[in-house]
Amino acid sequence: MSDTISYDVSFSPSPATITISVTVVEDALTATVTTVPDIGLSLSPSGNFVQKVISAVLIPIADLIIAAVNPKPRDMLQGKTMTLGKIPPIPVENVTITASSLALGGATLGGTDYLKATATLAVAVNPPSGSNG
Amino acid sequence: MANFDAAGGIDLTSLNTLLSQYYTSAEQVAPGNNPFDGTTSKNVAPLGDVTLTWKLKSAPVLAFGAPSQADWNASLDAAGTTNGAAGNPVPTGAVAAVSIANMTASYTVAGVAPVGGETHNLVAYATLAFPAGEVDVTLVGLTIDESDFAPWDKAIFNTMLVPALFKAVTEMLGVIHVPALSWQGVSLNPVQIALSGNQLTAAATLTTNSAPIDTSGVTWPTDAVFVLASKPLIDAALAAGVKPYVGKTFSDSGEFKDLADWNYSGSLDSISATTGTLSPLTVNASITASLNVGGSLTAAGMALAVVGCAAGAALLAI
Repeated sequence: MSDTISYDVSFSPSPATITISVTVVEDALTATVTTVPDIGLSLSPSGNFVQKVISAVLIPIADLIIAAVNPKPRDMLQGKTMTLGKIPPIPVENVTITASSLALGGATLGGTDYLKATATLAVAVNPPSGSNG
Repeated sequence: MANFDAAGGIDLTSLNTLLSQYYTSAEQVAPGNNPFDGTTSKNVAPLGDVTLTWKLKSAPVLAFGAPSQADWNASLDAAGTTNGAAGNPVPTGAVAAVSIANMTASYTVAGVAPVGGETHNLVAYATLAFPAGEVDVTLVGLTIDESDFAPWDKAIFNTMLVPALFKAVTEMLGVIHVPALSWQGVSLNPVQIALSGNQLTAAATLTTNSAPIDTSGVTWPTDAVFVLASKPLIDAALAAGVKPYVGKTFSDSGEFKDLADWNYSGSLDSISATTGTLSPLTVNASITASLNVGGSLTAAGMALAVVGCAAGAALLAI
């Protein structure tokens, strides 16, 4: 059975601006979605005459859907974190080199701007295999 | 203009700090069984089985640069012959020297008290090669003060200690690595490693960067340990980071006061995230979504609509 209720859908603004912040978390460069606004959904009756009339009469349904959908992208994205890059432990023979104190800055080299990260490295000998300590 | 998307560097001071930490940690974790403190046995004719023990009394110190001709000529090659006598040329290119201030070494022939002593200012020379992201270390010379050694001691040490030290120093130099940064979802071309003064550096381009890598004339940061990332590289990492969320769907359905059923289904069609500024690092990001909405009257809703239409028609007829 075809829909007797029909709405045109629009979002304003589209695309919607969200905020992503980038910070250092331990030894990793981590992006976090910090702000996702309501997506500005609007529904307006559409279709043939009968559909438009019924959809207009049942506009509370549109209000219900707008209230439910507007925060969906926020629910799906806000607070999500993404590891963009990290200095992984570097295994060499029987030692492991790890990075810490990662700090961000900028540098211009050869006329091009770069993100610069500085770190402190430390080396430790791996315990002999079979060791429980 | 320089062309690279990712780079890293470490200076000599940091490498020596790593070497010192390696020395301390090795002595704590595996005393007597590490490159700085070890034992090896070998059958040396006509003595029979000889056991050699050595111990560095302080952490070795790394330096970059070729030795002088005189120092080189006096150093031993892997066979225990002086490089001068063997006619080996002074190494060129990337050369590392590991200096050991004090080392004790002794050997024991079965049933005989250990023979040996302390040697000072031992220096090992190694060439460094950088094929496809690696640091290949080849020990090419070893300076060891054997002036106080008896001929037999010298023969035994050159037969056993020199190869053992070659192996040990190669393991020590294994800590020479440029910090590699693992970028989420980003493919880089093979890393180009170079020794620039007292800095070991590595650089690479994105596989999507078709221009050849070029670090000529670049003045690297003077930070002890650094990593650099270009805007395209961060953009690629951001794109990879948000990709799992693109296309995510949401939907629901329900009934409105028993009069109508409704439903919707939507998705996050796109997520754009690109670098705004690099310092401080900011991101410009946006999303687009789509939605389909539908519904239909229930039987009760349909009946009400019919009644409503009839009532309307009746009113119009009056």
